[in-house]
Amino acid sequence: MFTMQKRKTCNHNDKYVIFFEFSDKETEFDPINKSLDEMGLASEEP
Amino acid sequence: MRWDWRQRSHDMTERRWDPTLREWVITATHRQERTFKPPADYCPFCPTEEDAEYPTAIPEPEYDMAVIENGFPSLQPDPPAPAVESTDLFPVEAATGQCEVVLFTEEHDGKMSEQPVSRFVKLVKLWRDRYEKLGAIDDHEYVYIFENKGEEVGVTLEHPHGQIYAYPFVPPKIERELESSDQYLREEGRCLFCDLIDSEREDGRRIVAENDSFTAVVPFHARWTYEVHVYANDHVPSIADFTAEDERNLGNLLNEILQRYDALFGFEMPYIMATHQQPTNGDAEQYAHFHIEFYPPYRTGDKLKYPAGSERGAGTFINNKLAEEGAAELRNAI
Repeated sequence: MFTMQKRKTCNHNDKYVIFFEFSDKETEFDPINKSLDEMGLASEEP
Repeated sequence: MRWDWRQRSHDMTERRWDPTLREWVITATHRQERTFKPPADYCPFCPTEEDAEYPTAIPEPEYDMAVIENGFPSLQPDPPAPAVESTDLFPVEAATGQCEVVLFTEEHDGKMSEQPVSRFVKLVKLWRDRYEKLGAIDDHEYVYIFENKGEEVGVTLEHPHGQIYAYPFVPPKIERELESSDQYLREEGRCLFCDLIDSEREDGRRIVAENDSFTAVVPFHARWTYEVHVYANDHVPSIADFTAEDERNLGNLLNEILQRYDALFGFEMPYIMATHQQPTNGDAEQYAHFHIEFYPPYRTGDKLKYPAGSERGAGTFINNKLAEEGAAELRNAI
């Protein structure tokens, strides 16, 4: 079972980039919402 | 009033209503300037190497899968005002929406049919995330996940990628499908697509591949010689309704379809891939049915099918092969 994590940033053109990373071990990644909240990006997510 | 072309903005998007066909047409003038077939060394979708002189659109040296905001969007969250005034006969509105590019792999020459099934399962999960996130925005009525693959269908960047458009309306082809299924539901009491796929599975002649969750067929009414539709076996309105098993099974079947396509003529088959599912405005739960449609342009190994006078001018496709024969060839390809 894959778990999925997202990281959001911007590139040099100020366009957003969302990186998707996957793991088959749930313990390796934090829940998606927690990760985005921690980065202060959840509200910007389109 | 006479139009002065010199006053036109270089970043102009709008949608104009065609009252004759009752559908929107998007104008996006800046797309004339979009990146066109750059050499591999200048691919904007490859990672930015640590010693690179110029960054790509991906500001990191490696990635698994990524979504980027389209640099030349047809729809925008804050679009400019239309270039012309709206009238009763010529309605025009701002092209509100969102356009994203999905990067399937960091490998510029990565052949998707040779990727492991796990990459397709990841892609299904990514699609689901974007469907849910983009669909949750009030302005968005329909989240359209698609892929243009190959120079033959107009691709300008080789790096394996797909696209997502979040439209502020339900696009006409999907709307027409949903109207048909709605009418069928009211008349027959069942989802049209559920009955179609049940009949295809019972008949069997047009089936290309199948598993517990999905069935791939060359549809009875195929327009393209090797057109394939992948239907959910059960009534699943959208990707948001998938179980974990559905995600795995769709990934598995997509992998198999691409292998069959590439084996058919011994080269990487170009195609347009289109997902049809429930609008994100919440309508049509009872009669929207998740499916994916593939339109490959080749009618033989060295001849393309060009939609021409009958197809483009009259809207009536002419297929050069029986759907049953096309399905048999794809079944026997590997």
